[in-house]
Amino acid sequence: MKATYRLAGSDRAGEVRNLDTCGAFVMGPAEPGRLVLVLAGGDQALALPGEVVDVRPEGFAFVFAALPPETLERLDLLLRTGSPGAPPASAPPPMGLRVAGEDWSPPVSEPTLHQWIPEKGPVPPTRGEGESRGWLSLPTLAQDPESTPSAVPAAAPAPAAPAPVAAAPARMALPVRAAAPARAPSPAAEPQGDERRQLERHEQSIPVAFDNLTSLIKEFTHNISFGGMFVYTDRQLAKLASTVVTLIHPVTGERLSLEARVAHCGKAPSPDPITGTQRFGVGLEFTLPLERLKPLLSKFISAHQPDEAQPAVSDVVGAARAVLARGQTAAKLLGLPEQPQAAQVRAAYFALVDRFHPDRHYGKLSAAERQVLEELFRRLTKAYQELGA
Amino acid sequence: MSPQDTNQRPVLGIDLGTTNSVVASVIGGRVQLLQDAHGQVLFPSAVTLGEGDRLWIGREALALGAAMPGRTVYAVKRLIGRWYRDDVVQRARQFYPYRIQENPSGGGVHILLGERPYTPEQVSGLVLRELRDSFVRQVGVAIEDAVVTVPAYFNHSQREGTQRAAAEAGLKVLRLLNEPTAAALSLPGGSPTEQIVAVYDFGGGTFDISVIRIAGKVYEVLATDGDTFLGGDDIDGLLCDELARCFEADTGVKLRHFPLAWYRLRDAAEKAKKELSHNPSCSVFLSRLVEEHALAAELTQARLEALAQPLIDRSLAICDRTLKAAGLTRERLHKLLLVGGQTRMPLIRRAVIGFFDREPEPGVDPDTAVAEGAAREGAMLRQGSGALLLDVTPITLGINIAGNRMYSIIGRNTKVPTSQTHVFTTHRDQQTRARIIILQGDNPVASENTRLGEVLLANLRGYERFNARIQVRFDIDANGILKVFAVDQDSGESQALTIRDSFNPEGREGAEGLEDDDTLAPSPDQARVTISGPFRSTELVDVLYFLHTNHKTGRIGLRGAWGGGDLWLLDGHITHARLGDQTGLEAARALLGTPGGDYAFHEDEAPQGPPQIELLFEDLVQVRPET
Repeated sequence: MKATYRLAGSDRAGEVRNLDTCGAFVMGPAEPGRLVLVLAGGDQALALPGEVVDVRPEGFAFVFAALPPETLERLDLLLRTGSPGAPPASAPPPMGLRVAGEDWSPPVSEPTLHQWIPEKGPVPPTRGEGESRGWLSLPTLAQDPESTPSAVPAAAPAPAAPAPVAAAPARMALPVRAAAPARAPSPAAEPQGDERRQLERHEQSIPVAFDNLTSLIKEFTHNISFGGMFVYTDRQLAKLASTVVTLIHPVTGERLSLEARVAHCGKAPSPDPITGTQRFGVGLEFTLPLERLKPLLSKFISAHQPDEAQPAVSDVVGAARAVLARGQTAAKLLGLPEQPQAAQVRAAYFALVDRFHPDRHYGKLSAAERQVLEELFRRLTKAYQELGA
Repeated sequence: MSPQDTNQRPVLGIDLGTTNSVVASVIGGRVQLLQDAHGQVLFPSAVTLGEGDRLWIGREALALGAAMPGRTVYAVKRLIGRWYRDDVVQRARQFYPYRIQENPSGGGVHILLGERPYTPEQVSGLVLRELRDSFVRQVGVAIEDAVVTVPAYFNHSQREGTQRAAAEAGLKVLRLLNEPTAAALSLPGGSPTEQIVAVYDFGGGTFDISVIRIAGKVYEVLATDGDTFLGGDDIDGLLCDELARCFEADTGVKLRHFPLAWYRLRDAAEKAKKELSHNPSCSVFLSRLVEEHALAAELTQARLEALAQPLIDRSLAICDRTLKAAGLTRERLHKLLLVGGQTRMPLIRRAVIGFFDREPEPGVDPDTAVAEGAAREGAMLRQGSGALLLDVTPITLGINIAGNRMYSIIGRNTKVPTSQTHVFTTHRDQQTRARIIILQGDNPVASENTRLGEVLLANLRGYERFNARIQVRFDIDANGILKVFAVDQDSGESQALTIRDSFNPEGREGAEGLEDDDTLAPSPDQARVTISGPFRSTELVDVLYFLHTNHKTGRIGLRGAWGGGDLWLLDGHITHARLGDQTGLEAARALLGTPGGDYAFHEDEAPQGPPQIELLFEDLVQVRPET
C-alpha cells in the first residue's frame, strides 16, 4: 500500500509495511518529528497524524498519535478489508491482495459482493486439444483420497498434501508440489504428446492458501467466480498447460481441487517484495463450466464456520483488532460503561485476556499477528490498572 | 513429521533446581513425572568427571562426589549468569569443594572438573540433557521443547544463562517460568469464584514468594519477590560451620583446608538436618575425617532452629513486603502453598503458618509442584487451552539519570510482556553524548543497583540543555528478557541493546564511578514525573529554567526534610509559590535562592490538581536566603 506524507514542504510517498492500529513502517525518507501519513485505498484516503520515531536507511518507523475513534475505526476497517472508507461491497480491487497482477486482469471488472452470481457470463474457459480427457483420472489425484470426481470439498485436510502455507499478510502463498527441481518442466517445454501432458499435470498441482476468510471471499467474488485467478508460482508454466489448483480454506484447512489451464504466464520472474524469492505470475482459467464451478465454490466458502473450540488465528487477530478499535478510554476498551465497578472490570479483563493473550495462540501466530495481540494485551492491562481493579 | 504431529508433541516441564531437579510432562491429559530406576523423582543436579573422563550425572555423580570432591560439581545454579568477581561467586569459592576460576574470555565463571574447565551453563546443560534423555526413554516419545523454571528473582543474565544451558542440551525453551508461579499452576483452576493464593517456595538455594489470584482459568500474579541466596543450602552451611567449630574445638584442625573432609561434612550436615525434622536430637559421626581425627557431635533441633531462625526471618520479611506490594492483607488470602523440600522443616512450617495464620494446602508435594506446573504451562502453550498465566517482572528496571539517581522505567510487578517508553533530555549545554546505563533494583541511588548494560548515543546535536528529546523504550518479553531501545529524536540516531551479557566487570564500583556529564535527565514533558532520591537544590533551578524557556504550564511539588512547597507555572511564569508558611515572591525567592526575577504572581488563582512534577530535596533548606 502506498502512503504519502508531507515533509519539509514536499510530498513524498513510500510503501507501507507492518501497518497496525499503533503505527507502521514506511519505505521512504523522513526525518524524526511529527508528520501526517496519508494512506490511500482506492478513492478513499485516511490521514493519520503521528510521529517518526526511528529512521533507518530503508525507511522510517511511524507511531500514530492518539487517534479519534472514527479514524481508528476507519483504520481498523482498512486493516481488515484493505479499504479505509467503504465496506467491501463497493470496494475497489483489494489492496495488498496481488490478485489482478501486473499484466493480467480478471475477465470482468468491478465485481461486487452483490454480484455473487453475475448476470453476464464471463469469458468461458478456453478449450484446448485433448480436453475430453478428464483430469480426475490422472494418477496424481489417486494419491489424494479426499478428492472426488465431482470435486466436492474434502471433508478434512488431505494428510498427504504439501505443508500448509503460513502466508504473510495479504499474500497468496504458492507452494508447488514438485519436490525435486529436476522434475520441474523446462521453461521452454511445450506439450508434445499425451504422456508428456499427463506427466506435467502430475507435477503442476498448485496449492493456494489464503490469509483469512475475507481474502478468500474477495478472490472468489473478484476472480474465481468469473472462471479464473492469478497466482504466483516458483517456476514458469507453459501456456495452455493443464494443472490442478488446490484452494486451501483459511479457516478449516479444507481443500478443493479444481482443474485449470494456464492462460498466461509471465516471461521473466520477479522477486517477491517480502521474501525476495523469484516467482512467476500465472493466470489460470478453470476448466469446469461456470454453472458447476460457482455453486461448488460457494459451498466451499460458506459451509464452514470457524470451530468454536479452536478459533482460527486469523479470526482471533481480526477480533483483537476490533477490540483495539473500540475506543481509547479504558472502559470502552474493556467494553464496559463509564465508571464501572471493580468486579466488572476484573471479569471483563479476565475474559478478554483469556481469549486474546498471545500465549493462547503460541506458535500459531506470525510476527505481525503476535504484535497485534501483544499490543492488545498491553492496552487491556493498562486499562485494567487505570480502572484500579 | 507433519506440523500436526509437532503440535501434539509433549513439552517437558523442568524444575532445574540448585540441589535437585524434577521433570514432568502432560501426556494424554495427565501429568507424568520422571522416575529413576528406584522410583525417585528428585534428580540430583550434580556432575562428576570420573575415571577415563567419563561424565556421571545425577545420583551417581553425587555418590562419586565423596570419592572425588574436586571432580564433582553441584549447586551450579547459583553461579549461572554471574560474573566471576560477583560477591556470590567469591562466597561460593570458599563454600564449595570444587574449584572456580575466572573465565579467561569474558570474565564469567569457569568450574574445573579435574583440570577441565566448564561454564556453569555447560554443567547445567549436561544435567538437562540427561533429564531429557531419561524422560524420553521412560515415555518413548521424542521431546525437544521445554518450559524451564527459574527463581522469580533471577535477573536477566541468570535467565539468559538458563536459556543457554537448555540450548547446550538441545532443548528449545518455550518459556522461562518463575518457580512460585509454576507451583501455583499445579493447583486446579476453573473455579468460578476467585481465589487468592500465596506460594512460599523455600528451595535448596533460593527463596521466592508469589501472591496469585486465580479466577476461572486465568492465573494472575499480583506480586512476586525473593532472594537468590537464601535456601536449604544455607542452613546446611550453617550446620557445617557449627560442626566444624566442634571439630576444631576438639582437635584444633581447621576443616576448611580439607576439601574431601568438607564434602563429607556437608553430606552429614544435610542428613542431620533432615533427621532433625523428625527427631529432637541426632548424632553425627565421621570417622577419620582428617587423618586420625574423627568428628563426633550431638545436634539438637533447638540448636538447628536457633541457627536457622535468622534465615527464616529474612524470608518472612520478604513475605510481608510482597503482601504489601499486592495490596493485600493476610486475611484476604484463601490458600497457602508450601513448595520446596526445605518447607518440610518443622520450624519453617510453624513460622510460615504463624505468619500467614493459615494451614498450608494439603496434597501438594513440595518437591514436584513446580515441575508439574511447568508441565501444565507447556501443555497450555502447545494446545492453547487450560490455565493461562499472567506473570509479572519481579525486579524494577530503569536507567541512571543526572545526580546518580535511578529512574524506574518498568516497575516491579508489572505484567509481562510489556513495553514502556519514557522521554529524557540532556542536562548540560552542548551535551553531545548520552550514556544510558541500564539498571535493575529498587534503590533510588543509581550506583546501589545492579548494572545490566549500557547504551551510548554519541552524536547528539549539542543543543542547550533540556532541549534534546531522547526516547528510551524498554521491552520485556514473556520470558522476562529485556530489550532496550534509545532514539535521539533530533539526529535520528538509535541504539538497541538486548541484555545478553550483563555481567558487570567493575562490580558496583562501575556504576559509582560514572561521569555525570553524559547522563540524562527526565524530560519535564513527561506527565507526572516523580523523582525521589537525594536531590540538590541546583537542579531545581535547572528544571525551572527548562519550564521557563519552554513555556510550560504545570505545578511542581517540592518535598524535603523541611516540609513541602509548591510552584505553579503558567506559560513559563511562576504564578504561585508556597514554601511552608511563605507564599508569593518571598517563597519563590526562598525556593530559587535568587532575589528578584520577573515572575508574575496571581495569588487569587489557587493551584488545582496534583503536582505534575514532584521533586524530593535533601538540601533545599540550605538555599533559603536571609528573611
